[in-house]
Amino acid sequence: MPTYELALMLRAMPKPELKTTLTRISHAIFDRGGIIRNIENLGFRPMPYKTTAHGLVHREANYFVFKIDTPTKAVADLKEEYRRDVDVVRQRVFLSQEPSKNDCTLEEELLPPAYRKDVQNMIDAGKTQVNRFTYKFKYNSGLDYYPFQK
Amino acid sequence: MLSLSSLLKRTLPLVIQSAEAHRKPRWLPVAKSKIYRIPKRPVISEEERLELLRLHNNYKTQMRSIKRFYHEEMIKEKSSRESASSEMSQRIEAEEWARCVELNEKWNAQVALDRQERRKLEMAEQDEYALKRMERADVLQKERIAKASEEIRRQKELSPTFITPETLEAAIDHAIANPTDYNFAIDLKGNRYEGRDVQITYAKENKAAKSASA
Repeated sequence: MPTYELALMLRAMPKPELKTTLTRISHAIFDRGGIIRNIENLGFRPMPYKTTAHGLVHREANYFVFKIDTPTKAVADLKEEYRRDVDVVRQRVFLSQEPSKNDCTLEEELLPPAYRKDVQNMIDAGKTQVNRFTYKFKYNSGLDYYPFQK
Repeated sequence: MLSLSSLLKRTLPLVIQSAEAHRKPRWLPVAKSKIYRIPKRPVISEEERLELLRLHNNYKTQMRSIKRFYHEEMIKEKSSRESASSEMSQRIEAEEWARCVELNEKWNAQVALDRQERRKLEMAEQDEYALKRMERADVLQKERIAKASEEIRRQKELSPTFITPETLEAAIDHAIANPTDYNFAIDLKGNRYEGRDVQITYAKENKAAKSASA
């Protein structure tokens, strides 16, 4: 089961109602054999746009992020269910991504080119490659002098 | 200049008439004045016709007899030659054939030997290649299994933190009570100010340094 992030905008409503809505949403996941890893509340915030859902105009919404594991085939089903839910204004499902390990390498990158590891590697690679089109005179050709202009 | 004798001894005529100069092109139709002209048939007298017929017949008969004579002679000669040398030629041919077969068999034996050796080498090479591939596949498979088991172990460690139907209510309460905010500001010293509604208060020494510099 892949990990998904279910981002939801729920309509403005009092807390007990919000709780029942969240419970309903969670049970829909449990019913389809899913796992909830985490529920995150991003707050009650004004929406970027005036949004219409289920015949009502919304200007503010409760932002929630569910981190869930669910079978791939259940995702469409869940989306369909949440689309019918009148309390859900907008919903999106994203595949959760591993946090990237971006260590800061600025110090190394600011070194002069000759000290940089990747430049050194490039120089080494260049040394192994021979140009086929330049003929180099071999001194063991039997002549005791270099026959061309130096 | 030109002597009379050289003029008289000339091989080519002085004036050459060419028929083409007067001829009309092929694509022009028959002239109007010649449309109904019927060319006159050559008239040959009866005597002359009979004479020509006789000469012609004579010529044909004689030629036929000569041809037949040479043809029969050729056939006779051929048959006599074949009967004379048939035994001899057959024997020579058989000997040649036997020699060829022997040589061919020798060559075949040599090629078979070479092929056997080559096949042995090829088989060894193939075996080595297959073994190498299998070993590599084994290593990859082992790596994959190790990676998967590591992932499973990690998830098992995490599993107590998962939300179950029993802990759902508490988790929802917790989430509603504690909204998270990933926004933050950062100053020149690298200090992070988490949250979007946080009031930033600078340290006093900072302010003093600023005023001093200004």
